[in-house]
Amino acid sequence: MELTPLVKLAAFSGAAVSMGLGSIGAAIGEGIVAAKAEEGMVRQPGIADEIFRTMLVGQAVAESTGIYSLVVAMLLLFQDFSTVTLLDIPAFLAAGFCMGLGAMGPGLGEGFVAAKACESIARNPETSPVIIRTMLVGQAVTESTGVYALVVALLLIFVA
Amino acid sequence: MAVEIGGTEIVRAAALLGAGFAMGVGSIGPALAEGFIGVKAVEAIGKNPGEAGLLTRTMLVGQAVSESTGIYSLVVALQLIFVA
Amino acid sequence: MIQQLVFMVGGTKLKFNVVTIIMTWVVMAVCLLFAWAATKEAAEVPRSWQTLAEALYSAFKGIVREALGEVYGERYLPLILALFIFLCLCNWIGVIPFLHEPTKDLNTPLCLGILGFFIAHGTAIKVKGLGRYIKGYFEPMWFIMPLNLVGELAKVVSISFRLFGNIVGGSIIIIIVNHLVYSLFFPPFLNLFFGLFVGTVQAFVFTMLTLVYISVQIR
Repeated sequence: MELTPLVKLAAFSGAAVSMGLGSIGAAIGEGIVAAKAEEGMVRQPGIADEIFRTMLVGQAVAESTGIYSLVVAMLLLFQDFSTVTLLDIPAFLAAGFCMGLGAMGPGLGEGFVAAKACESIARNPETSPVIIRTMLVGQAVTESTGVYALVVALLLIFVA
Repeated sequence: MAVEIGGTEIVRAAALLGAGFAMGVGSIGPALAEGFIGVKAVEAIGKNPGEAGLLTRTMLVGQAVSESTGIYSLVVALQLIFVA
Repeated sequence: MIQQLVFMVGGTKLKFNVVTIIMTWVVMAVCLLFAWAATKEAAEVPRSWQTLAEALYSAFKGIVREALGEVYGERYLPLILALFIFLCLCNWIGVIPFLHEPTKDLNTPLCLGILGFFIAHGTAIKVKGLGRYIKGYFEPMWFIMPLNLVGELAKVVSISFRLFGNIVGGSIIIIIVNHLVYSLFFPPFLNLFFGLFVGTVQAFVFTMLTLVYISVQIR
């Protein structure tokens, strides 16, 4: 049997898994942020602008693992399929699962943090600079496992 | 072209698949836990902004400890890719 | 993407990433230019560049003092501020065509992470004394020691990989989208998002984490 179609099958299903699973966490997380932001705006219509800005910043950071999934999916889709080896099949599949599963946790966790930040700002608006700072730092640390998943996926695609 | 599949290829393929799953599944737990820690830290700072420095430090220490399982996953995945 | 220059010195290979080095020089030149412009005509009522520099200074002064206290805050403020400005410029420089972010090469973030590691631990030894510093690894129980060691080393790995992963992810997305839409419409906006927004957030996060690692060690 030809090797190239098999490798293509593995790469394309890896891309599908990466993007499909990877978007779950980011989507739920961002949805929670939006819900909490709206709750806060209802409670404190006077600072709706502030809450809206916090929501956008928090969502943009929460989305980053989703973007990593997109990176891995794109790399798998636009591979150079002219020189393939047998071991590319498990490597591409594993890269897809690695980034897909690995993006679920960080997306959810960052979403929770951003949601709570919106809620806290609605409750106590004058603390917003320190809350946004803490939110960004906490989200960045939460994201580190997602970055490890990206690194392992890139290694699987390019090195293994 | 014909493809030969021997024992070494199967072992190597299993190692690569294992690396992917190790890092993928292994990153869900730490990330969720770190998220919960961040949630509580942000809530506490919202209630008591005067203690922001102490709370941020505590948050980061707790997150660093929660992350250690994620680091172990990374170490295992790298070993599976490069050593196994 | 990264061209390497290889020298042979007495049997050992020395490799230099030429693009990274040149881009770092460019960033350093811009930093110096900013410093020169901000202090050129130091006046009571600040103008243009001096305003920006003073705003940055007073914003960071509060954060650093809050984290490190009065004495050490004053001592480490220049380091933290310089780190932030350098990383911001490093991440922003990719917005300009034909220039690459130095942070896209793992060596730059890793080197800055190791720098932070040594500063934090050096300060800890100076403040607490060697005995109490070593004893800190055996707390709360003696058999936790390996976990504490791994935790300290993991800080360096996580802080540098985070910056590297974010910048590389952004630049891969930009390259692929460029390729897909023939550089038509989206790339400028993507460039702005990844270069300016993500770049600033990551520079801030790197600086904050370095600061907090120092403050964890001296408390």
